[in-house]
Amino acid sequence: MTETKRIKAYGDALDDGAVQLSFTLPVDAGPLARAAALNLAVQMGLEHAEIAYMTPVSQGFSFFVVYGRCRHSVDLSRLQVAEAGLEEMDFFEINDYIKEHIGRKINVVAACTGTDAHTVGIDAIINMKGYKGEYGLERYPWINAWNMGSQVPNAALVAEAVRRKADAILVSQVVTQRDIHIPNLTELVEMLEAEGIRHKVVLVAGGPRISHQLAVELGYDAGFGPGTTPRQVASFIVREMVQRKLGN
Amino acid sequence: MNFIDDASAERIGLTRIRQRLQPLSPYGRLLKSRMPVFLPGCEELVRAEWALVHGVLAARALEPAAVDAVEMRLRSLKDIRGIVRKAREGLVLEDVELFAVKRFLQLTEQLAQLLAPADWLPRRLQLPDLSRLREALAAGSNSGFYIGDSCAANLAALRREQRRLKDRLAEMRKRSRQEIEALTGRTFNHQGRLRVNKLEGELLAKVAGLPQLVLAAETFSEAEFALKPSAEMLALEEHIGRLETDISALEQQVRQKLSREVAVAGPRLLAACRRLGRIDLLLAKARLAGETGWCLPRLTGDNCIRLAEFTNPVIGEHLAAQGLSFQPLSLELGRTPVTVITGANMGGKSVTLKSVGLAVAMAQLGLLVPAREFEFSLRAFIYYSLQGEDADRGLSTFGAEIQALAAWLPHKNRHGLYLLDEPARGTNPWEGSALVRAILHWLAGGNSLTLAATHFPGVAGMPGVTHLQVAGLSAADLQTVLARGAGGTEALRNLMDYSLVPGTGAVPRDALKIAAFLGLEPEVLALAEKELGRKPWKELRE
Amino acid sequence: MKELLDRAVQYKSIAVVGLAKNTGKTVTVNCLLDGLSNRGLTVGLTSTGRDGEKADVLTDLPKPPVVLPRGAVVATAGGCLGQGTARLEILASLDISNPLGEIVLARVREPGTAEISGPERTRDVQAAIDALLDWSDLVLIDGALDRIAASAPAVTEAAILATGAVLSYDLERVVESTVFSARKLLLPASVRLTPQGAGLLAAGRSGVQSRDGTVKPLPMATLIDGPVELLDYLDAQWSCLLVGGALTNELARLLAAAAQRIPGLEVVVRDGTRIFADIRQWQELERNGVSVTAAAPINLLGVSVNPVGKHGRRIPGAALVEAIAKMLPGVLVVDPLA
Repeated sequence: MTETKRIKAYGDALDDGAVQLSFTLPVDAGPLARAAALNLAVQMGLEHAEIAYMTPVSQGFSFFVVYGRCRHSVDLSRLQVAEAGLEEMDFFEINDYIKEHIGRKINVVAACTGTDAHTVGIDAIINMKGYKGEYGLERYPWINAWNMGSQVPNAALVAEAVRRKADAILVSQVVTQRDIHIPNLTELVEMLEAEGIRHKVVLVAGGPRISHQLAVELGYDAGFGPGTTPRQVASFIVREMVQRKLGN
Repeated sequence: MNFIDDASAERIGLTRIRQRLQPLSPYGRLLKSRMPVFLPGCEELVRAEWALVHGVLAARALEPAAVDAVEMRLRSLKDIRGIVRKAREGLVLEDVELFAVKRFLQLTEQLAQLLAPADWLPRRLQLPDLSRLREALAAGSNSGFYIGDSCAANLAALRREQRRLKDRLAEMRKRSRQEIEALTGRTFNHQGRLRVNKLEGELLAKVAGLPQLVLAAETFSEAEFALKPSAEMLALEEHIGRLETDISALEQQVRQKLSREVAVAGPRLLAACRRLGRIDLLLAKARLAGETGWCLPRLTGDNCIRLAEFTNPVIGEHLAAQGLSFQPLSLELGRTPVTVITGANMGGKSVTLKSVGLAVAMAQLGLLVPAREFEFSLRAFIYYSLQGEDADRGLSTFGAEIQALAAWLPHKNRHGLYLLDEPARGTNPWEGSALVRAILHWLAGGNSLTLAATHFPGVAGMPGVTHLQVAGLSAADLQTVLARGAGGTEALRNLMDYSLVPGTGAVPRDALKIAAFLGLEPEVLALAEKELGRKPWKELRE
Repeated sequence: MKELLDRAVQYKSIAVVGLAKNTGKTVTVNCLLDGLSNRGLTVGLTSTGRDGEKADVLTDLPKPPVVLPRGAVVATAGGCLGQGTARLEILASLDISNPLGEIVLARVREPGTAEISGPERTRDVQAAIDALLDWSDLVLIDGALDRIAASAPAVTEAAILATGAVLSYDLERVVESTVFSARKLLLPASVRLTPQGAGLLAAGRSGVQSRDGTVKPLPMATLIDGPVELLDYLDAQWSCLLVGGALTNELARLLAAAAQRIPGLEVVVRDGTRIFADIRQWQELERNGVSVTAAAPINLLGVSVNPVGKHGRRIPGAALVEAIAKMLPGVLVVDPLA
């Protein structure tokens, strides 16, 4: 934890810092633009910067590919990465775990909330067919899973979770332009608190731009990004339930 | 080969008993997951274990408050083994980790004091002396953790110096600000900025002209000024910064030293963890015994199982939830290697089998047994026959059962326990009963004990086999009940006498009576009677 | 600011709740910490979620760090302790965790900056406040993004609302949002509510109360999606609805539509933090003669205003303060950095 582990970008030798960048400047291609690009590269911390390629892109704009050596480095030992616990179990282990530690079927309600219409992610986790050859939560004998689909208002999701006596709620958000997902995700947390059931459920958010850190910041128990498999989500849910003694 | 497979454990209720055994600390829970089974050859060890649990029960009866105090502290224990490992790898521990160790030491010390007068605690489980580490971690805070001034030689002096400089710097800034406030008639805000509205042209010009101020931010309506640090202030800041580096370095050295102390005390800390786990598990076993009722099991050289008034804790729990109680069970296995039970349907045959299995399993896990008396010899394994629940795996009832039997039968000479619940019922009765007779005959040639329940004719009467039957419903009871009309399963249960009595070698024929009681279509019953060539049951009623 | 402090000292727990990120909550908290310490109080501090880190996870605006005075006590995750310049003595460990680790109670030995990351769930926040009050005179909760739940009366005694130009560059919009949020928090106490009804609400259950005061619990598990069956239980006699959970747009819509045949319909919520209806829906309710009250009103100490918005652009602070104060008579509105 206290030993430094600094790394720099890698080109063809360790610590050479070599990087390739591309960007557009709002200047016509030419000597002035070239000078501007080099200046920008230097300000970005690139040494031995070279313009590998310059080309005009419509009136008043030029595109650059720049090579250089980035002198900045990163100390890995000082980085704090929050990740959802990664001790995964497999399909059978998860079912056995539920049987042994919880003793009854658990209920999971899932939806794509707000105006989001993309159910690909939530389908991958919940539906029988699952994802990457792994079964979705519907397939687990010890899990009752309900996929409410897309464009589900937060109130409807909470209502369903209450009626189904959900142990876990999964929310998927794909659309993130202008951070539109943030207030929607936060509202769900607040509604669960207002209904007095936040502490009774395991709350999970997922989506291509959802990170664990972001989800936790917003008040969720975990966040899952692209490539997440059903059993990663299931493993987290069951362990969290047992740890928080939610099974009884 | 396991002592008992998962399916059998589930069926006899052992899984539920394990769930009810609840240690309070992470060490106890760890030990529980690795709880050993005492197999033949471990007679001394298992006797010692029972004696220990008994000791705890006695202590609790005498001084419940003392045991409660121990349990409360066990509950507060956190798992520090990861921290110890980290220290032993030479890494420097963080403050929260050092705090966790200090807290562990506090709890351990308290536990050692509470357990000192406990005469049931053997020497090998007494907690090791960790006073050296405790002293090392003491400085700086009473019950908390802080790297106090006394932890390193220069630390006090450096900190004092830094505080002095910081105060001086604050004082200088305050004076500067006060000067400017006097000059301009405005005050600095909480962030040390002076805001001026651009409409106040004169004031703005004056403020902008002051050499001690610098423009920090502005909008179209406001300008914000900050103090420009003087050379002296900058020097002070720099000095404070250097001191900060030195102090941090010293603090880190202290952490290093303390981490090494933890590493050195590592083996003792881990030993303490192990012993705490053992103590926790013992107390948990005692609590469970208190809940279920208990007796001290006895071992004998005979190949037998003698159970007197056993109350099945798992089925009992289930019945209690419905307001019913479990009829205590007594039986003896071992006069002959094989014992057969027959009895009416719903007559508790399965319950008998499960109870025998559970009693043996509990005892061999080092638990006390809820009976008036329990005498037996250790078993190498317990097998409870499959009941065809695994339709999932694509096998029929019969197929699954035979598959399992095929695996377990060859071990008949290993001093095990076979509990066969209506074997071979999933196939035609002619071959089925022949198969059962053959299996039992074969098992009788080994040194394992077998208890089998069956309806098949010709089994209970086999030579060399002990026959027990469930007393069931006496004829008189049955008459009364039938006179009153059809009842439900609950009424039946209330009337049943579940005790086991020696059998006659013949299978009772109560099925039709029971069907009548449960309300099966009278026409159907009459037809069945005719099939059997008996008088219609209806006439029995009148 | 001085008036805000004068009011603050009367309470044991105060939540500083932001309408959005970068509304200047941390500055307000720092001002309070400083001001209260100067008056001789030992202050406790925790946050819901993660705060004090150098740049915002979401908006990437630089965030001012939390500045801790000597003697203050904090509840924060173990993982945060190495960050910042303050020196903390670890006093005890609470049995609560958040993703950054187990939450501990620590006392400030050397003043400086720190990262405070406290419990996430409201229930755990309550436990943290109780623990902190063992070591301090007054506890501040720094609420993370829109965590209005922390200002519920069951959790804290009083609340300060933080708003700012980060909501919009348009002064009108900032005022409108702020005033709406404040009004929700300032819901009047219900006069009709009987002790029985209050008890039902406190347990989080919903019910109906008749004109003569009889209370009947409702059989639905929740009212959150405005279930139509609810209308079977309301009429001219049973005209007081007790909502144990959230009052959402869906529920408000249902009630507004049915208000015709239920004259004098009053909706009682537990407190202002349970309102999720937006401005339009709220106005719809008011237009239809439905009154909304609270079982337990929230004590709004004041509103703090941060005139600095995204990318450092500002709205004139004094104008913003004045506009909001005008719309909320009796509420103290301050710019801590004026």
